[in-house]
Amino acid sequence: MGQAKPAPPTAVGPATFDDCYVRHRDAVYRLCLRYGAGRASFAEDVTQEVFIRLFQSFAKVDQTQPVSDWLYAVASRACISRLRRDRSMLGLLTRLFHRAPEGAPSAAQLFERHEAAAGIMKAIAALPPRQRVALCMKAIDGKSQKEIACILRVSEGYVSRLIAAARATLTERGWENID
Amino acid sequence: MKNQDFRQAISEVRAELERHRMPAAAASRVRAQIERQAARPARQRLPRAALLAAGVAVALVVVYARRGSERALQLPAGFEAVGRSPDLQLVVEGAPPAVAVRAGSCTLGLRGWGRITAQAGTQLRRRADGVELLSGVADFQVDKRAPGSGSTHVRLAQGVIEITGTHFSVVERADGGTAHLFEGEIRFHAPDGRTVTLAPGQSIRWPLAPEPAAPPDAAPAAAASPAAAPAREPTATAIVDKISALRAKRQYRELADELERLMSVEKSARTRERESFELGTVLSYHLPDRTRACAHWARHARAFPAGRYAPEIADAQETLHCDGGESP
Repeated sequence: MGQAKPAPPTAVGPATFDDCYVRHRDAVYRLCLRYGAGRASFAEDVTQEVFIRLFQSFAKVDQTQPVSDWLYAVASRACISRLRRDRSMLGLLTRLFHRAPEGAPSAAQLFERHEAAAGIMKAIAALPPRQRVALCMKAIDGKSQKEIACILRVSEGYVSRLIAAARATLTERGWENID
Repeated sequence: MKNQDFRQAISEVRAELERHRMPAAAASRVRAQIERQAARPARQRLPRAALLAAGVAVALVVVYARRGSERALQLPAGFEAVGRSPDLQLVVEGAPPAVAVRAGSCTLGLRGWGRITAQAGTQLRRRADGVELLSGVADFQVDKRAPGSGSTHVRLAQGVIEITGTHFSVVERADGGTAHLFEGEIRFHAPDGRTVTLAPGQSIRWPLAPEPAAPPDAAPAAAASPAAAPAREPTATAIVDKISALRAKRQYRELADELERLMSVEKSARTRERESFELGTVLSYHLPDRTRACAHWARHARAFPAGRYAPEIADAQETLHCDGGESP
């Protein structure tokens, strides 16, 4: 692998790229949607980035392991990178001139029937990217600190501090029962 | 303040997202992009280059705009503006003219001398032998002196700091003040003739405590030792109790003042780093005072370059958008 140009998405190994895309695109999109605070354009862009990466390295992905784990890890890290870019001057300008994709619900519409959900998404969206992702992994996906550390490629101690800082911020803003 | 149940809100988020599917239009757009990528992998680089060029252009515009606004500052001869916070209010008053920072913060350069980062409430003026700090909180980064060129000074109401090329911060109030040395060496000269030499990491508070009465047969001391002059360190338990009480009462301004006071007391580098980190988090998240917080994090990074809290500090600086404008 490496010197040959990747073949178009067709059958490779036990599963095809098409199978993976159809089976996992919703899960990846949902993951990105929550880190992007419900922004459909953010979720679509990152989903696209993740599947392009999967396509480019499809032959190298360990087919004996669930591809969902690979997608989860890559999507989480891609979201952090994208969130950091979005907070830069250039990111702000890009967002200013970016048109929302057709037919996509806005962040407000996504949780409009659930006041508490909308509130917590807003609070989480105000956290720094790494804190946001680490907290969601723990609170929503029930990942252990060790798993989070492995996915984000940081130390367990750092994950612990990220989560503690996120909890402290949310507590400060009036949220209770933070696990 | 609202009190909401995090657990319940998260389960609502989970349930709502679980129902959500990628819109068909989005799925087909992504699919088409992947196919386009498969057909033309080399073209992917073009938008990145364009984005990079746009980024450089934006940075140049920002730098130009900043320079333009700095030129507009009226400063006494010898001073030049190096950095400023967006909310800076600065006036020049008195004779000889003194710079008074009314709001925000700024970094002023003195050609051939060094840089001074002054916080709101600071008043200072140029002197032939250095700088006079009339009041306020200032961070000094003094250029290394050429051999044989002698020392330079920061004059205070109750003493003089003699500098040989260093980095230190000073808090000057009507009833006294403190200085903390980060690098190099400084000597504090009290009006009564006592001299205290500080090494990196040491602090001093003035006015100096009165000298204990010497026993009749003791020889007079030539100079006070740094350990004798700084304020006495309270017990660790008393510190923790006081900080915890202020935190519990959410008296963050008092907590910040207390931490700043504690940092001027001599103690181990590890404890000072912890206190400095605590102070930074209070300024960043509880008060919040962005200008002071950014300046504090910059000082913290210089004092503890391989610090234990580097990731948290990076997060705080990112949250506050500390872009270097208010820190040297």
